[in-house]
Amino acid sequence: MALSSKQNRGWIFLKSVHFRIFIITVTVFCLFCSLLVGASIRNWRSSRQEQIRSEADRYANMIASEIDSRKTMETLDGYYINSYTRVLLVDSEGIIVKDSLQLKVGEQIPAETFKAVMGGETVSETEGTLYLVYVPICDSDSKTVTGTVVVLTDMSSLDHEIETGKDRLILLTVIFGLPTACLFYLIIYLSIKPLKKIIYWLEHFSQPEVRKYARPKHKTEDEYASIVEAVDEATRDFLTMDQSRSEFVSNVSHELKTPLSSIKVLTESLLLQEGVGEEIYREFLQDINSEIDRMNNIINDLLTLVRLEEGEKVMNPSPVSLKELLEVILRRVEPLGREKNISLVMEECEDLTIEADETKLTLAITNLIQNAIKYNREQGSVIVSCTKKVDAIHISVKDTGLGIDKVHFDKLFDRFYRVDKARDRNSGGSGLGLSIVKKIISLHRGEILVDSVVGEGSTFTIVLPVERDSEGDEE
Amino acid sequence: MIHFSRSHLAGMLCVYLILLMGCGTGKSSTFAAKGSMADLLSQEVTVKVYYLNEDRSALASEERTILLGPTEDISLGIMRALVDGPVETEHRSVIPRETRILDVRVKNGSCTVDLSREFQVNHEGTELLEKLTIYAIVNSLAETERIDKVQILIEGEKVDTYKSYLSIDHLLEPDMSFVE
Repeated sequence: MALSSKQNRGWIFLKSVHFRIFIITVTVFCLFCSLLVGASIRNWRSSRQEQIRSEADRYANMIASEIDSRKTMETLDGYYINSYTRVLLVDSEGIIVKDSLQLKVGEQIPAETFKAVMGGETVSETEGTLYLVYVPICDSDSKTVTGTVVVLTDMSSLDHEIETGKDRLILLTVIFGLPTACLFYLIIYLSIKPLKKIIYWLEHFSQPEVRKYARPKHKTEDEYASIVEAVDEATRDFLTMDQSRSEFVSNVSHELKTPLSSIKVLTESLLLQEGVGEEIYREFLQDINSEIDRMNNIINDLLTLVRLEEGEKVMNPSPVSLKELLEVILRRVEPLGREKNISLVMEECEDLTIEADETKLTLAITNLIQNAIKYNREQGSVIVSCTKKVDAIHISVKDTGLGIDKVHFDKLFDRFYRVDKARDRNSGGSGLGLSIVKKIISLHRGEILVDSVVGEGSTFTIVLPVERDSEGDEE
Repeated sequence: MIHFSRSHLAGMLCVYLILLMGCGTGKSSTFAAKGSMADLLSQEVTVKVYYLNEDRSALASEERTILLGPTEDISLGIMRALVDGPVETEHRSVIPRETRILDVRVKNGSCTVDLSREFQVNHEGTELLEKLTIYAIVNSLAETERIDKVQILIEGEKVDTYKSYLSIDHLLEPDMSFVE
């Protein structure tokens, strides 16, 4: 078991990111070094070959000129060059008269090259790895060729030099390669190390203490810091969403519980009392009915909100004439205003056409006007207007009601948020109206603004961006 | 803390192999076709070379035929034959293992032999064997007409004594008293 565990650890190590990066880095490094060494050896070989050739040429010319000045071909003493070079003196008949190795004296050299040299030319040629230079020896008096100096250099000796050089390179590789590889490994290991802390942090993320205290800290703004930041942000979003969902469930339960409690109290009262008159029954049943209506409103608004949450796919845009739309809405809510003795006025409205979902926009504007009527004072007024600004259309609903304190502005569009809880419930609102308005307007890529003075009234302004097409239509 | 396991070592080994492979170079081919100067100047020569006798108490001669390249001196051929060891089964090698010939040159009857450090380091070190090794070289080279004396160098440098007993900082003349 222990062995198996060790083997597993070995495999995990081989598959680890830092080992793989290490292998890739070292492989690239080795390939680069190999190419560099290969190119260096090739360059060195060719330059050494050139050097050997020029040395052979120089020696051949030097020997030829010295022999000419001494007018003798008796000796080659003192002309040792190196162990891979041989010097021959050849007479005018092509017979070797002197050999630095004293092995081939008296033998005839091949005629072809010799003929050219006897014509006075210096000839050099390569036979395999052998480089040969033929330099004619000229008599300075008679100007005739009396013989030839032949210098032969075996360039295969370079292979030996390269072998020696290669041995040194291998030694250098061993000396510097191991520390370099270790250094690579250390650098990569240290670079990857923060990832291990992040993995530990994520593995224990469900434990709040670990999540808080084992959070990796980074001094520099590197990729690891970005990962931790991204995880933090996602966690915050998740927690906010979770909290929001809990609040929503709590609010829905509370909102539905209130009418249910009323219904229960009303029904129990009827059941417990004997001999109740028909009038009382009717009154109680009307109250029960209105509570059921209220529940129904809440559920309908919730369903509307849920449908709107699905986003733009629920949108059904079409060209909408704003003036006509507002006139229709005002006609529809006029009975409500009349009931409360509130006048509905359409102040100014240009003949504007916008691309919008007519049903949803109608719902949003109707909600705002209904609120303006609901929270207005007796004999107050609601003024509706629509104007075109630079790049947006403003639809305003202004009331002469109690007004809203600025402290409520931030939460005004939250679900189930009420400025005056007791009064709102009595007015039969679900607490979702402004949330629905805001959602509809954001689906139209617009925004909603609030301006209010306590005691004087409020103005809700829907700002819808003007699209080029609708501008074109107007023009 | 970094823990090195067998996997670590295997990884390191792979990297090393790659490193070593990167250092390889190709060799060029040697000499030219027959009928050329190279062909004329290459030749086989028969030389007398001295090795240790069977009980390693004296030198014993052996006739060897060696192939010389166009620029190779006979002295180099003799040294190669010495380093390669004897052919005859009753003879023993006289040159310490792993010895490499760095250079052999002949000038005015003197031959200078430059050998690698292993020639000195890998020798067994008895007085007789020291003398037999050195005089196997000197006597073998002196068998050629051109060589009378031999100077032995180690890695290009003269050394005072070969191992412990024999001084080799001067030109050595052949000594046939070591030959059986």
